[in-house]
Amino acid sequence: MSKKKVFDDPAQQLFKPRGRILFFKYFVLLFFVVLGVRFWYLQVVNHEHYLKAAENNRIREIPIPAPRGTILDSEGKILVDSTPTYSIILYQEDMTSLEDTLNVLTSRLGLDRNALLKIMNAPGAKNRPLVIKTNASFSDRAWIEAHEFEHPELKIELQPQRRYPLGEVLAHVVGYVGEIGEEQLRNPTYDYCRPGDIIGQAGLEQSYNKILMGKEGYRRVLVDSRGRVLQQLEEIAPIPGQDIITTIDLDIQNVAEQQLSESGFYGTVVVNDPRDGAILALVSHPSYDPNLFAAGIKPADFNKLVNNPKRPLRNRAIQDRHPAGSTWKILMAVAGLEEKAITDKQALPCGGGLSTGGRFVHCHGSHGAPDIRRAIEISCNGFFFREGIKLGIDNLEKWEALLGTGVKTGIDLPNEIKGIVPSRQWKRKEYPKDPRWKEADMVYASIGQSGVSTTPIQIMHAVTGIGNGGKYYTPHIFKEAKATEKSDAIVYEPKLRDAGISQETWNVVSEGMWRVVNGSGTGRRAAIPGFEVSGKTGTAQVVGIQSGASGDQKEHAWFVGYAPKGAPEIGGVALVEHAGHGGTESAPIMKACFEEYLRKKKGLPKEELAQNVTTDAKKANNSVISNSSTVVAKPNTTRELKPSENNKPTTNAPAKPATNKPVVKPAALVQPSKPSNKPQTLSQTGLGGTR
Amino acid sequence: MAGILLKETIRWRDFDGLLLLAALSLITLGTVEIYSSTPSTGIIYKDFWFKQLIALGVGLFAFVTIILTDYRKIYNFIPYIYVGSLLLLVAVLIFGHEVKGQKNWINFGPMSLQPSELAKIAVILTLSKYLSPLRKGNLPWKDVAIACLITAVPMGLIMLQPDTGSALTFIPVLALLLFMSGFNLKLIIIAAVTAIIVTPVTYFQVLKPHILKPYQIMRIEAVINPDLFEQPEFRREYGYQTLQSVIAVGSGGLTGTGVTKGTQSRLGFLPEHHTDFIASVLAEEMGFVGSISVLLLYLFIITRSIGIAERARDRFGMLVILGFAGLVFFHVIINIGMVIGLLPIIGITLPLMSYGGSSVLSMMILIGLVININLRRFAN
Repeated sequence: MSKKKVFDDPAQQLFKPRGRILFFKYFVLLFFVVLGVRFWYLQVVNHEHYLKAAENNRIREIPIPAPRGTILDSEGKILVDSTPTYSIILYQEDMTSLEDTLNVLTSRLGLDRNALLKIMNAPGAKNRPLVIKTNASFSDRAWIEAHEFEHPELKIELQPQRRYPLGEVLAHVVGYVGEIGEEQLRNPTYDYCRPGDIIGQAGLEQSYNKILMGKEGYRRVLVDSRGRVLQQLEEIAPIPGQDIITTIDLDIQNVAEQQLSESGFYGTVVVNDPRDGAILALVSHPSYDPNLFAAGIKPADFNKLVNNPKRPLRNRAIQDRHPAGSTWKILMAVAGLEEKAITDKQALPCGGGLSTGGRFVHCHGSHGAPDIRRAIEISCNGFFFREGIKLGIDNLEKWEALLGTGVKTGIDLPNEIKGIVPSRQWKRKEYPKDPRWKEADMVYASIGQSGVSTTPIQIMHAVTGIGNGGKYYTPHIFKEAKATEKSDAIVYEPKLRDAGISQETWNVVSEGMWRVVNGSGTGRRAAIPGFEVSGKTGTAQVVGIQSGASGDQKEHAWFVGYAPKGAPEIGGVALVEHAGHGGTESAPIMKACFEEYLRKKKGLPKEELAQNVTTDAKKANNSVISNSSTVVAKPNTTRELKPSENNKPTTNAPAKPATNKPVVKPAALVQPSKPSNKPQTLSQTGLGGTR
Repeated sequence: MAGILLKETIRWRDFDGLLLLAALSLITLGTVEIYSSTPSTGIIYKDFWFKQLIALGVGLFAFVTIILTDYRKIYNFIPYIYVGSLLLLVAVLIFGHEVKGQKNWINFGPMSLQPSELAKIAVILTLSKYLSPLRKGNLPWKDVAIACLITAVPMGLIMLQPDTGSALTFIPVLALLLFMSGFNLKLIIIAAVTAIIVTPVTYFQVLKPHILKPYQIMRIEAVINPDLFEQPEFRREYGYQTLQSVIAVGSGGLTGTGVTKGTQSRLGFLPEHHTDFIASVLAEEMGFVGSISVLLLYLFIITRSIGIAERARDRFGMLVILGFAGLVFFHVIINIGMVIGLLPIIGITLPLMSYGGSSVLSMMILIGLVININLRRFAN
C-alpha cells in the first residue's frame, strides 16, 4: 500500500463516520459535565465540611493538663500533691493500621488488648488523645521515641499524676481521682468536664473537684501527614487548680490514726472544733491507698478493694450507721429538760430496769434514784427509761431535728448518709404489722437502741453542739482555697445554727458530761488534768449477745466528747468496732487526740507531752501504708511508755487477727456492705424485740 | 524538494493557535502547581518544576519539527516508529531504572525517558495507518484481531514493567479507533445494553454477597455515597489517599487557598501530589474556578481536535486525531475521577499537567500532529 494510493483515494477523503464522531462528542461532554458537577458539589456545596476536615488534618490540639491543686493541712503540710510522670498517649487519627498498633501496644508495652479496645472505642475517643499508659518506664519511653517514624500515633507526654504521700492516712478525707465516667459526663454537675478528664472520685477530691481541677490548656500545632509536629501555632496556658487548705491538723490526725491502729480494731475517729465546725482529724479504718487510683487502678486491685468484707473504701465516719447507745442519753437529757419533762433537781428511780411490753428491760446496775447529772455520769438506763416515757415521742422528735440528728450533718464530703432516729413514722415504716408507737419503743429509744442509728459524725455533731451551748456549726474540712493568678481566694464561712438550748439546760448537761469523765463515770480514761474533758461513752450492740461476747460479736464502743467544759475548743467521736465498752477503748483514743491538741496549743515540742508519739506515728504510718490487712496491735511495750495510757490494762488489747486467722462469721452476722435503712442491730438485740 | 512541496500545501491561517495555547496553558498551570507542591531542592535544575520546563522546551522543539514535516511523510515511517518503540519497551525492561518495584524509565545521563509514553504515539499511528483504508460494511474480524494484536504487544511489554495504569490507557484508544473504523454497530449496542442490565444484577446477586470483600464493596459504593469516606475502617484500609484528595479538592472552595498555600499538598497529606494528584493540588489552591478552567481547557482541546478530525483531509489523519482525543479524554476522566473520589486509584497521570518529561514530550508531539494535519487539510 503506497502512500500515493492511500492518500489519493477519494473514498479516503470522503468517508467520515460523522454519526459516530458526533456520538463521541456528546459522550465526552456528558463525562465532563459529571466531573464539573462533582467539583461543584465538593468545592462549593460542601466546602465548609472539607475545609474543616483539612484543618483537622493539620491542626492538632495537644492538651496541656492543668496542674491539680494541692491539698494542705491547716498548717500547710502537704496532704496531696501531684508529681510529673510520663504517660503514653495514643492519637488514633494517626494510626495507619489498627492491628499493627495493637500488636505493638500489647507486645512492647504489655498492655491488655481488650482493655485497649475498650478505651479506643469509647464515645468520642477517635478524635482525642488517649492516655493508654501512665507511669511509663524508661524503656517504654525509649522504645516509643526510637519508633517515632513507624508509630507516629504514639507519643510520650509529661503529665502530672496525683500523689498521696500519706498513703492510707486520710484516704477517706482526701479521696482519690480517676477518669470521668460516662454517667458523670451526662451529669450537669460535671458540665465543665470533657471525656478523658481526670476528676475527683471520692473525698475532698470529689467535693472540691472544680476548684482543684483548673482548666486544661492546649497547644495548637501544625502537623504533617505523619502526625509530626511542624510548628506551634499558639499555646493557651492551662489555668492551674487552686490549692486547698483544709481544717485537718496532721499532727492530731496522726495521733488518731496511730491510736486506732494500735488498738487493733477497726473503727473511726473524728476530731472537730465545735466553735466553727472544722474537722481536725478523720480516721476510718481499715483504709486504702489512694495512690492505687492515681495511676489508673487495675480492675483486679479495684475488685479486691470493693469485695473486701472489711469495706476499706467506706468512710466509716459518715457512711456507717450504728445504734447511738448511751451517747443518745445526752440528747434525751437536753430534750427532757427543755420540754420540762424533768427538772434538774428531780430524781427518778433506777429500779434496776423497767417492766414494759411484758418484759423487764434491765439497767446495767442498780443506781437508786439519781438526778439527771448523776444519771448521765453513771449512764443509768432506768432513769432514762422513765424520763423518756415522761418526754414522749413527739417531744423527742422535735429535739431530734433541733439537735441535728436524723439528717445529714452537711459535711463537705460526698456520700454522707442520714442517721435514723426514732419517730412514729419510723415505727410505721419499719414495723408495718405493729405500726403504733408504744411505751416499749420509747423505753428502747431512750437509751439509743430502738430506731436510733446514727453515723459517728452525726453523734459528734449533736453532742459537741450541745457542749457548745446549742450553737451548731456545719462540719467542714474545707478552709480556704488559695488565690492564683487567675482565681480569687475562697474562704470558708462557718455556717451556724442555734438549737435554742437554755443556759440552764446547758449547765446541767455539761455538768453531767463533765462528771462522766472526771467523776465516777464511764469515761474516766479520757480525763486530762486541767482540761475539763467532758463526754459520754456508749456501746452499740451488734448482735443479741449483750455482754461477755468477744471478737466480731462484741459491741462497738463509742466515746463522744469535747473539752473544756463550758467553752469547748475541741471535740470528737471515736467508734471502735467490736471493742466492747466505750470507756475502755474509745475514751483513751479521744484523750490522746485532745492531748495532742493541747500540746500544740501550749506550743510544747512533741517530745514533752508524749515522748514516743513521733516515732510511733511513723511506725504506725509505715505499717498502714505498706499493707492495711496486716494492721495488728502494736507490741504493748511501746504503749506502756506513754503516760497517757498508764491506766489502760495492757492485756486488754486483743490483737485483731485480720489475716493471721480466717475470720469465720455466720452469714447473718456479716454487716451489709451497703448502708441499709434498717438499723442493723434492732431485730437482733434483745432490747429491740417488740415483735 | 520537500520544502517546495510544503510551501504549496501549508495554509498557515489553518495553524490552530488556540489549540496550542490551551495545551500550553495547561502545562503552565501544571508547572505552577508542581512548583507549589514540591519542596525546592535548592539546586534549580533538580527542582521538579524546572525539569518540567526543560521537558516543555524539548517538547516545543519536537512540536516545531512535527509541524514542519508533512504527516504523510511520517506515515511511511510508522512501521519503524512502532518497532522502535517496542525495542525501547524491551530495553526498559532490561536497562530500566527501578523505582518502587517498577521499571518505567531509561536513564540517559541527567535525563530519563519513559518509553510507554512514546509507545502511545506509536500505537495511535500504527492503528490509524492500519485502519485507515475504508472497508466495505463492518470492520472485518480479521482486521479487528490484527488491531488488537498491534495494541496488545506494547501493552504486554508495559504490563511487564509492571505499569498497569499506563497499559490500560491503550484499551480505550483501541476501542475508539475500532469504533470509528466501522466496528459492527449492532454488536456494540447489544453489548452496551447487556452490560447495563447485567452489571447491576451481577453486582447485587453475585459479586456483593459472594465474591467481594467488605472494603471492596465499600469502595464501590463510596462512589454513590461519599459519606463512606469518613468511615474510619474505610480510611484505614483503603481510602486514605482518596479521602485526602477529596478533602484537598473540597477545602479549595470557590477560589482556592492560593498558590503555595495548600496545606493538603504541602504538608504531605496528598499522595503523589506532583504526578497523579496534580489536579487535586490545583483544585485546593485555585478552587472551583481553577478546576472548571482546567476542565474547560481539556474539553476545548478534545472537542477542537474532534472538529479537526472531521475536517481532516484523509481518514488516516482523522483517526490519528481521534486517537489523540480519546487518549486525552480517557486520561482526564480516569485521573480526575480518581482525584474527586469517583473512581478507584489507578496510577494514571493527567496529561499536560502531571510532572513527567516523557508525557509532556509525547503530548506535544501528538498536538503537533493534530495541528499538522489541520495545516495540510487542503494539500494534495
